[in-house]
Amino acid sequence: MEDKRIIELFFARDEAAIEETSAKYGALCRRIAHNILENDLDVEECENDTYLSLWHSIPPKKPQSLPAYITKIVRNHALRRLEYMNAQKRSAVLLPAEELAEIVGETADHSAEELAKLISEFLRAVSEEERRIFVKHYFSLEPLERISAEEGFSVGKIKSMLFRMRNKLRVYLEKEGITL
Amino acid sequence: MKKEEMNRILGMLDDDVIADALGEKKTAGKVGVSRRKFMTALIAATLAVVILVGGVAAAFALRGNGEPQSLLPPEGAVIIRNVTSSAQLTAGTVYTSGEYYSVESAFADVAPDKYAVVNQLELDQELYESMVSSNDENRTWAVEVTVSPNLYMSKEYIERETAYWLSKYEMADLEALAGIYDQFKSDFDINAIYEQYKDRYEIDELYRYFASGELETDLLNADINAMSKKAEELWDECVHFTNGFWRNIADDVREMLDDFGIEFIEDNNRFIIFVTEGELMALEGLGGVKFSKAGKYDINAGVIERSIEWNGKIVSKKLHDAIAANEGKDVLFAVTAEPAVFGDMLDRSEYESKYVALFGEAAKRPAWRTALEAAAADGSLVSAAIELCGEDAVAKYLKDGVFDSALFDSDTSAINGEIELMRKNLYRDSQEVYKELLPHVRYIEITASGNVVIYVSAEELASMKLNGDYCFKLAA
Repeated sequence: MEDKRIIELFFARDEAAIEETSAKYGALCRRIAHNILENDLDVEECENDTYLSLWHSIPPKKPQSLPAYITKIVRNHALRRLEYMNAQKRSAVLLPAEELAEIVGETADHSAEELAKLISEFLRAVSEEERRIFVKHYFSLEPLERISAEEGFSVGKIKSMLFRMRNKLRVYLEKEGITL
Repeated sequence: MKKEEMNRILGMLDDDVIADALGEKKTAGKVGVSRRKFMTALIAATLAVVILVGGVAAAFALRGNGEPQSLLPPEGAVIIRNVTSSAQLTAGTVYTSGEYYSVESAFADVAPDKYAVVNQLELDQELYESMVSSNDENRTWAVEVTVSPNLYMSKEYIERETAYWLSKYEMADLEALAGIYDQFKSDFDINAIYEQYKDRYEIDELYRYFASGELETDLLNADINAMSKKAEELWDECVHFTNGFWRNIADDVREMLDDFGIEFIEDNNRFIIFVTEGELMALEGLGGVKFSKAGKYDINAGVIERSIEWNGKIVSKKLHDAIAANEGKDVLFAVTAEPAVFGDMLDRSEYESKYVALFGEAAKRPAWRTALEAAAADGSLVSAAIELCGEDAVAKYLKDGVFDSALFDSDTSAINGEIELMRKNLYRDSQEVYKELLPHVRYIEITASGNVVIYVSAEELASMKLNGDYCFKLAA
């Protein structure tokens, strides 16, 4: 079923919306959650929380891109669950964010929304391949090994691409007036 | 910047950027992850329909140019359907409403909860809209009574939560010191470190950990552990605060429900009540709580929806009301016709539940096989297999450390066979419904969800003489 139709089902408060979302994006949800959480049961609950969040948020929200919206929600749920479970532990899945946090530095003058917009702009400007790898690593938190297998590059090459992109992003943000 | 903040920013990236990167089919991954059990009846039932849809759609599609075919009403016909009023509510707000800017709203793109205040009761917008759109004051609703999200805006809670996050941030700063030391140790200069990280550390703090010119690892670890413990305690306080708040109001809720003779189920920090709109409104002024639709109980409540005998037929209250409201008008009603006996089951929901259970069994078996094979090859993995498959399954398929793949495959085939049989039964029943209704109607179709929908006037529906027992409902 087309995403537009699924969103219409949500607006009509038709429970088939969840069926269709589960059928079309269930695997994607589980995959993103699995990147962050280790336990299958947590992944399942995270997936189900995502469906309920979708049910509660659409309407009024009308996502421009349903898969993007879903992945944002499932990612948030998974990170929150991780935070809750491992309050005292340092988690490996937070490391990609740490890499970026280091290059973005402290930017008290800019809101999170502004930074997100700038990073989005930056990603639109890079090549499709770079954008894909960046989003997979930093947003979807995919392991480097999997990205390597999917993209057909060695892990070293992926690391190197990410390193270069971080540097490019740093320069880009500086040009946009972000004091690093 | 803290990694948590960075993660939040990443969660706010523009949709098109993410969608573009996710556009690759390979991103979608494999389907068929095991499901231990389905979280709620809602998800379970809805998933069932997906499966049914797949089965039925495939079955009908396979018929090629054969029947049944859809006969749809002409363009321009006025069709009365089962629609909700969310659009109407958006167009004209008729209640006091607002948004809970709770802690959760800090997470990107998850819309804040909307609520309506009616009779001084905080109703989740979905529940409110469902009640309004139902137009059936006698309908019983499954309602969840939980702590109001306004709790999270209280000073006491915010103080604890803020302190928790500050501890986390401080801990992250301390954890980062090891990396910073690695970076500077070849040419150690505490002032250079301070110069670069003065936004993050005080000079005294740096002297504490680099007093000897080397990183005082033991001291650092001790401080991190202390910080971690503090964060844990603060989080526990948040949880205890919420629980305590609930305990304070739970007695009031319980007492009021008892006074009104409303039955309830007590679950972890919530009550589930089954009430009509009037009964709910009578709880006027019950503060500190939020009322929302009770997910997995909702379907049960839906079953309670009243059916009415009308011209010798069983019709849903909603269809009955729609017919009454459109009397004398030239309209068609979109109506689903469900046989009283469905797929050898009592009703469709029972059929779907069984189908889901079987499908769930089948879906998780590939993962079971992998786990059992691994456990057979490496005894240390038996506990992992038990965690995934359960003790009974491991005892059945792993005998003396050997995986009985023949028995496993035979059981898998039996489950798949049963699923196939149910699909065939469903197809058979849908065909029978279609064939029985076809002579009585001008317009008929089988929808994507496998329902047979007819488009009839009130007169046509009233005059239909059918052999089987059907329940007619207004279709969506």
